[in-house]
Amino acid sequence: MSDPDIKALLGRAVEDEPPLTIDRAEVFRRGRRKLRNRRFTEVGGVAAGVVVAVVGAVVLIGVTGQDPDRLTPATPSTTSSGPPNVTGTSEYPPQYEETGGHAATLTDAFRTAGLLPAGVDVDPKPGKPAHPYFIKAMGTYHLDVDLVGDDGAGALSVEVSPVPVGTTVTCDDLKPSAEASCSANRIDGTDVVLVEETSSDGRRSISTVAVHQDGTKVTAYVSNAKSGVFKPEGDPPLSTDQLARIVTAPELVWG
Amino acid sequence: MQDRDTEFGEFLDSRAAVMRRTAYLLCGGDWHRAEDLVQTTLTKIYVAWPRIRQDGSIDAYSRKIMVRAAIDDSRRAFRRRESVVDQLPETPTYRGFDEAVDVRRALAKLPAGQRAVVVLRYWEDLSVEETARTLGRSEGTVKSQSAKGLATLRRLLGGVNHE
Repeated sequence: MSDPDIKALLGRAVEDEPPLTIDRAEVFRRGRRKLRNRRFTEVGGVAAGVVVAVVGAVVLIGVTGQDPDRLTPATPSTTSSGPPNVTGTSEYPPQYEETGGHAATLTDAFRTAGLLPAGVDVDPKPGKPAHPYFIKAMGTYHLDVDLVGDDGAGALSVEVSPVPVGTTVTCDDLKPSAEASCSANRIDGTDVVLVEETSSDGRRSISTVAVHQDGTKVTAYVSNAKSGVFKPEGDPPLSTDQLARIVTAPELVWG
Repeated sequence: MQDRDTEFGEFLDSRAAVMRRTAYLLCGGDWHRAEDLVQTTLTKIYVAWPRIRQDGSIDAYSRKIMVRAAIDDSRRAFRRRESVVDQLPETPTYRGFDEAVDVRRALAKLPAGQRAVVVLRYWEDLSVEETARTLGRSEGTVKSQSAKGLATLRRLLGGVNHE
């Protein structure tokens, strides 16, 4: 088999290609979530690093240590080669997200705790549950949903993850942009940090994070942009108080 | 964010179908897994967009992410004792279907690493050097895996008409 033969052979394998069904909005939503989580994770990482230095025994990320999301980009093919500079672990996020197990427990807890206020409803998507639900992906639990309320529409993201007990967050840790306003509050014995931000394209968002006494970190983010909307208008569907209620809800427990 | 979304959206629209074909070959012939791989890869590209756009390495970066995710996914599938060889859910719709199935089965029988080498070398038209860089392996390993992969394909596809 010559090279062209092999290429033609491989081409035959993809001839019966079905229509593309990649969810464009979902790609954007996941990407934005990872960007947000990176900021929050960096905060948790700093606090956790202090704990590690004291205890002196725990490796947090893994023995090989590099976040696979931070792989160095491959060198363009026109440049000369050097030794591969990638030392990432083989632990990529799971390809298939899980909605059962503890994700289902969190879904039930979110619903029974009444964390969505009256007058705010899920904007249903074809093939998706018509209620907020958690999935386990990338090692943590996520809830992503578009909401429509009396005061506005937009997207809500909630993440439940573990951090060392005693981890704290402050406005300084969150490094809000110059345009953002940040406040640190104590609600029902839990420290809560809120960041409100308005960008030049009309996007208004509120980010909150709280670390519970058991080491459960809950982050929540709401914006006035539903998935796939690039020129948002109006207010986010949830207020700062309503978002704070979500991150401090004792029902949301890492498990 | 607006610029990132606009530029990335254009990239996604223009490249998703091409990426899915490569992903399909990398994962041994499963369109659902291929879309999953592409979606994961696109999410990572979105996060790294400003950096890789500046470097001019978008395609190289996407290949690297996708290939490594495919290999890891194949290993997980192996550990779960799932076989991709028998998963052919699509319905025959054209004359060459049997040949396509043969190629898919043959690809699926290759170890994930060999499959990645064959796909990068002969589908993506990368050189040995570029393939080695993408996989993080030596050029010697790429050459040997390429030779083994092709030998296996020849053996498995001996009866297929390649006209």
